[in-house]
Parts: sequence; C-alpha cells; structure tokens
Amino acid sequence: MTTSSLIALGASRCAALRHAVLRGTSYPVTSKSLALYIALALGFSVLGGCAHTPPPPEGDAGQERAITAEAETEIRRADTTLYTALGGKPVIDDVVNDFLYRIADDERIRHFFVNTDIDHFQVTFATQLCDISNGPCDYQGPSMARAHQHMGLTEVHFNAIVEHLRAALIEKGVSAGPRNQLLGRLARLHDAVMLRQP
Amino acid sequence: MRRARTQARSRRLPANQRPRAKHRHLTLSCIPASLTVLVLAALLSAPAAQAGSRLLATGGVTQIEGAAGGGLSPWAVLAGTASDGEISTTASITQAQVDDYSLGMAGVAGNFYNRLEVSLARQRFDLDTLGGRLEQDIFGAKLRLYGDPLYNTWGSWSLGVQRKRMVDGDLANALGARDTQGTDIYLATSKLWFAAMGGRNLLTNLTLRSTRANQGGLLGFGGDEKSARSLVVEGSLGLMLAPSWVVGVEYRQKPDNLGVAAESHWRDVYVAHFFNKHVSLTGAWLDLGDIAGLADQQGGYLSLQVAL
Repeated sequence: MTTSSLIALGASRCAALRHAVLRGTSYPVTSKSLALYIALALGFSVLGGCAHTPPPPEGDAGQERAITAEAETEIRRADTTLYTALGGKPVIDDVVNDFLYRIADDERIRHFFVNTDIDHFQVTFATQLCDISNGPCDYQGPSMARAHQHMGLTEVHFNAIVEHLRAALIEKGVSAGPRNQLLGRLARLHDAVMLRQP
Repeated sequence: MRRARTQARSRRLPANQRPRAKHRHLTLSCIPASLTVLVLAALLSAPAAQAGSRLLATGGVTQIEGAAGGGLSPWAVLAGTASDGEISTTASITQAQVDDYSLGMAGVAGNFYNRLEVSLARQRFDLDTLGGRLEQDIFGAKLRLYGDPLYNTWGSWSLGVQRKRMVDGDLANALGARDTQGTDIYLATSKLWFAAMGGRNLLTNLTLRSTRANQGGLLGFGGDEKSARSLVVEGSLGLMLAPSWVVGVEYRQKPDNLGVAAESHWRDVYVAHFFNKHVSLTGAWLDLGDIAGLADQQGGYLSLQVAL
C-alpha cells in the first residue's frame, strides 16, 4: 500500500496510518511511546502567544472606538504571524498528515510510534506547530525533554524527523520563507529533545 | 643541499609513495574512469540508499585540499552525511583552469560517526605557460569538537590538520621556498541561519589557519621573505536557494613568503547542486591573483563529488 493510496482513503486515513505503522514492524509493544515529535514543538511558550481580544468595554463611544482600533491592530498583527504565512490550520493539518505517512514508511523511526495513539498525536503535533508559529493555539503537553526522555534517540532519529518534516512542508506547497522559519524554530528544540537520552 | 635532503627523504618512503612519474600519471588518469562508474551507480540508486542521515548538503563539497568544505576553504562540517554510528565516504575530482595554470585534484575522504574526518588528496598543478608540472599529496584529518551547524546556537566547531608533501620540490626550492613539506592547522566554525536572506537559509563559515604554505603548498613552504607560520583567515557564505542548490562566495587569505613570486588572496563565487545525497557538482569562478610571477589569474572551476 503506497503512501498516496493511503492518503486517498480520506476519512479513515488515521486508522490506515496506524495500520501502516503497526504493519511495518514486529517490535513488541513497549512503554516507550509518546511521539518522537510531540517533541518537536516544545513549549515555546514565550512565542506561543494566543491571539485574544480584551472583553468589550462598557462606556462611551470614544473609548469603544479606541478599543476597536486596538483590536484591528491586533488582527493585523496576527495576520503577519508565521502561522498565517504557513497557511493556517488547513495546511498545518495537511503537513502533519503527510509527515506521519513518511514516518510510517521509515523503518529507522516508526517503531517509536508503535504504542502511540496516532489520532491523538496528530492533533497534539498540529497544536504544537500552531503554537510555535504564533497561531491561536496553546500547546499544553509535556516539555520536549520530558516527552522524549530515555527513548534512546540519536542524531540519526532527529535528522530523519527533520528531513521528513521538511519534505512534508515542501510537498504541501509551503514556500521557502515560512518553511525555513518554522524549521529554524523547531531546530532550537534539539538540545531539549536530546537532553535525557541514554 | 636541499635537493639531497629531498632525495634522502624519498628513499625512506614506502615504495608506493615514491614519486615516480609513470605511477603518478597512471593513478590520476584512472580516477575519472572509476569515478564515472561510481557516479552512474550513485545516480541510479535510490536517493537515500546507504546515505547518512544528515540533511542534504550538510557535508558541503570537497575543497581543493581534500577536506569537506567549499571550494577553497575547509568548513567545520565533515564529509558526506554520516551521523551518530554512521560512516560515509566521499570521492571527488576537481579541475580548475585559470589564465596560465591548471589544477587537477583527486581525493577521497572518510567520515566516522560525524566526529572524525580523514582525507587523502593529490593535487596536480600544470604550469601551462611557464612549462612544467607540480604535484603534492595532502593527508588531512578533521575532528569535530562541538555542535551542529543546524541545531546549535553556536554552530559547529572543528579542528583540522593538513599534512602536505610536494612530490618534486625543485621549482619551489628555486623560487626560494624553505621546505617541500609542511603542516597546516586550522580551526573552523560553520553555522546555518534559518530564513536569513529572502526566506532562504544562509550558511556561514569562518576558518582560522596556521600555515607556511606558498600557494597552498604547491610552491613549497616558507620563503626568503618569511619562513615562520602565518595566521590567515578564510571565510565563506552559502545561500541555500533550495535544499539542493547553494550559491555563495569564498575568500581565503594567504601568506606571502616568496620574494620573487608575490602571492595574492584567493576569491571565488560558486554554485553547487546536490542531485541527491550521493552526487554533487560544483562550479565556480576563481580569482587567484598573482601566481609564481604571472599576474591576475582568473578562471573556472568544476568539482564532482560522489558520496556513499
């Protein structure tokens, strides 16, 4: 079953992916699981600001106009985030989906996902990408060091993930600027991901 | 006297390293043919087959002394795409043609676990106008001390040595060179800046080299004007237009030891294409300045690398 035919399954794609991940490996189920790349999107909480508008004020019209102008500025600012440049949720979801198929095809890393709830991972990872690109999301999962501790990761695994994510971004038409910005932000997570490896 | 010393030295060499003209010629002329076979095999094989896990282009290409780098300067990255627990090997041929000279280089390099690189190169320098040929062998080793150009704030840092030995030092001696062999030591740092220019990634390299070499060693080591080591700076920039395309500039400062043959700093503009992790082709425009009394040497450069 090829990657493209898996994608064609549409609605059942996650189930199919889970099948692909499990099919390709005979590793015993271990306690290692959570997502190699849950990791990738660490709590860059500093960067991960969620766009929010202050509650509408009760008062005179002048103040209201001022608040409205402030909100518009806020919206304009939000429009220039990396999240928007990437193409927002539809593109990020597509990229994550494509990325997971690539992992499923890579025997170097797919065993890390054997015991992973792929549906959950897909959502969590998309949330992290949204958060790290200043989108309206808040990643609340474990830190990158915690999420990857004692998984036995080496640079080989890290490189493989970066390569697959870059390929997925290219495949889904994300242009060089936002693509490289996102990869640059994720690259900074390297030290945290590799912090507690045996 | 100097010549007598050189001959005494060459008698101590193992038989296969002795400078015998016929043998040298055979070795270099065999390399293109075998490399052609390798290139075909590499292009036909699956893109990721047997390649290391580091990203495309992160091993640079092969610089003229055989180390991983740009064209003129060694970088802090190690050859090929090997990473933890992986080994990669590269083979390359380079041909440069400037106004009055041509330089051929053939080299091999091994990268062990992205920690240690060892390289062996043979340079052949033809004096097209003056007549004659100079050759030298370069054994190189490069140890990655710290970091990664992509993942670390401070980039990657490596310490390297290049042990150089001229095959025939007569011309160098005649020009006033003190020795026909020498050792360069360098410290290099490489760092990739994501989305640095027009959304493209920019690779910056800085190399500090201690050397006595005249024209990289092809005109010997040390001279009548200066015999001691010089500390020189080399720098290069590479803009990754796409993951498989790099364009850039390089600059290599050089000592000026010989009174009769002023030496210039080297510069180039290059473009490199990585067909996949196994094959890359680099073209450059060189400005090498004055060489052995002939001024303003400019010309083209082409280098092919195969990596396994």
